[in-house]
Amino acid sequence: MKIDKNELNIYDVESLHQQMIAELKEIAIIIDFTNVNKVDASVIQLLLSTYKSAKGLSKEFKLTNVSDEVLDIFRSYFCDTLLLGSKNE
Amino acid sequence: MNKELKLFYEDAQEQLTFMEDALITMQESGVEDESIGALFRAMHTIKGTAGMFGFDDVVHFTHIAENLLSEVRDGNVKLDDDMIDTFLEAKDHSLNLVDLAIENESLDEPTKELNDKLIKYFHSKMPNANINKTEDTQVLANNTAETAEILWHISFRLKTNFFKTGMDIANLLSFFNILGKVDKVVLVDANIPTLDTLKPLDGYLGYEIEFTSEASYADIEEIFEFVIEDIELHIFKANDTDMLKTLLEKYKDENLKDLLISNDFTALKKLDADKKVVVKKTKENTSSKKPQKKEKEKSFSLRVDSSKIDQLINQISEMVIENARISQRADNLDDTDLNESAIIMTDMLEEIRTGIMNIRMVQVGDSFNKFKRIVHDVAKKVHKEINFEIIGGDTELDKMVVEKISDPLMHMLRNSIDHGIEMPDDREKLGKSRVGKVTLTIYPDAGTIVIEIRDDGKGLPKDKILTKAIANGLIKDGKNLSDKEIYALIFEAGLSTAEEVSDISGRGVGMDVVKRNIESLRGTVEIDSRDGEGSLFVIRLPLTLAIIDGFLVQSGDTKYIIPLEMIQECIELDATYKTQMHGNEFINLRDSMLPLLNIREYFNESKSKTTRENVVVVRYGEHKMGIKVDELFGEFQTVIKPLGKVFKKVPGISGGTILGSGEIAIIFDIPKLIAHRLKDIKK
Repeated sequence: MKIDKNELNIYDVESLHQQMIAELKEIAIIIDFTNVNKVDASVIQLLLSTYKSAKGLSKEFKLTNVSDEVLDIFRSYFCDTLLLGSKNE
Repeated sequence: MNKELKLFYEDAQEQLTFMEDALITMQESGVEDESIGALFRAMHTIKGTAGMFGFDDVVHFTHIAENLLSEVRDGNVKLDDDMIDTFLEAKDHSLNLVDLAIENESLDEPTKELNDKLIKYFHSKMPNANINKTEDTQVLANNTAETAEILWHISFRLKTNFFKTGMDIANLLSFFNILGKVDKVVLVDANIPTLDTLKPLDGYLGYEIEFTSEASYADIEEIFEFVIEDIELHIFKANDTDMLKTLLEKYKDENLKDLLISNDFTALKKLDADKKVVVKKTKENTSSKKPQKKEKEKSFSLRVDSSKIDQLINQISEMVIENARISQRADNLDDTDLNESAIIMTDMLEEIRTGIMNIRMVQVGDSFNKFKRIVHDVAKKVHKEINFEIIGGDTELDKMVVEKISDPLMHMLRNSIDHGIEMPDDREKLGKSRVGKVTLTIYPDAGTIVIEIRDDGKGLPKDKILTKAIANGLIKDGKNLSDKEIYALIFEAGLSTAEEVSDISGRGVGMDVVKRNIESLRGTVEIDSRDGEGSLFVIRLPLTLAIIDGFLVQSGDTKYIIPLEMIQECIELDATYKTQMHGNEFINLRDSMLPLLNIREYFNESKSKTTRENVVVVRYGEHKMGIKVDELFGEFQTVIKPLGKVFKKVPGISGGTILGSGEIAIIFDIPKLIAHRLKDIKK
């Protein structure tokens, strides 16, 4: 799934939630972050929830093409390792 | 409850009572060092002893309260009214914590909430600079406390509504880098649900942070200033194992402990090592700190099992009886030396007796001061303004009596405020002061202790009571009752369940129990009331219970004891009086009518051997009566012995005593005799 918005925040999180639920039916949950350059805490929560759900279903969860800006944001929230795994640190 | 636990409980209760008294004193007459000392001591002592038992919740709470009090004592923090109110709340809360700890129960939600609220409040009042200088934290703290930099542990969880604040967590987190050095941060995702139950607009995130800084507690708290309502926040020194344990307990479900261990948090490493040490140190702390304490104990007191005193009183009683025999024997033998010794012995015994009785006597003020708190609380609850005063708090009364009378008094005070005193606005309309006045007066009177509760409220609704009593079949319609008799109806059990008459229902509820309690102490209660002006409850209680000064008289073949303190005078019933009587049982005593009670008739005694008759004038409350007897013998130290079941139903007898000759004398129950005579007159 490719996200087409640049900025994801609390106003998007509900529709994003629905998209993630749909995505969870796929074999692997791979989210393309190419376009994204900003996220907020509610989105991070949603991503963490998706990650947890995927893990619960023994499915792969992956964020791809995460920009440096977003990586910085993840770091500032101390969720980079959780969401991206240690290789991105 | 084992012995140590019981001691702890009693001690905690006592300390908290001191604390409450001190707070009330300061509420009334301003802040003073001695009272602050009492607050500090209470928290400190409870913390120390609770530590020995491993009551962590109690230790934790009192520790924080103590820290703040220490600052107050050192003059770094000003104790204002708001803080006094909060400490009153903290006092109740501490007792609750102690109760729960002893019962081995964990804190329920409301208690936890209150606990957090109070702790947060105490923290917020701490001064910036001195936070790490409190003596006990220093003991608990490790070497880090000696340097200015402190390793803090900060923990927070977003509450559901967090995102509505619009605040950015990353921003909050970045502030820590400004204040000091962030050692460790870990995001707690345990509360984030899976997608199916996730509410994307709710806050779930949490963080645990270890952070080294010179910043104070308040500085750190300030970071969260705008979101403080929307997060659960804990800030404490990383070496404060008590706090850490509380935190771990609180977030048990999150497996916080494992998370902190896997992230190598410093605090966790110390926890296990410190576990034993903390308890030990707290223990040492209490014992070693005491001698250094600046403030001296106000007075030294000894805790003695009351049964030991009872035993002493019993033994003295036996000695009094034995001594009476010696006197008698000396009289019979006409032995002057023996007689003199016996008299000296009598005096000495009396002194010892008074001394022992005094051990049991306590100033009622110590115990009754708690009513101030109750009045304060009740008044607040019913939105009334009350000026409550205790007069005669230095009056002494048997401790047991004080304890037993407390509940009835509390009940009556509550009623006075709730139902007696009008709402402030109504009072103003009536031309009264907005502030209602309730007075509790205690004074000794003729061998009794009188306790009065007076209020300036609306008075008792006489008509309603009467209607209700008739409706309930307590009295017959058309029966003529005096005002006092009507008021006394509120003590009847039948009236207490009055539901329809809402206005008086409160006054009725439990009043029968109040009366029963008072009567079980051989006391009486009377009511007076004026419409619109207020009501007055008068309780009379006997002064002492085991040995009294009696006056020995004889009527017919039997000897009787009249409690000396109720006696006003003795007169000889001579011919002048007898002619005045015209066969009625009244005499004219200095122009006032005095009803007489003929003991010989009352107890169906055989005819008197002597022709002389005497009258002993007794007074109880406002009633006077003459007791017609044959002979007067004089003062006698009387040991009250209970009489058997046979005498239980005989009105007017409160017990018996053994005379020196081995004879039995009957002790009069003067209030009952007077009541009987008054009833007789009415007929």
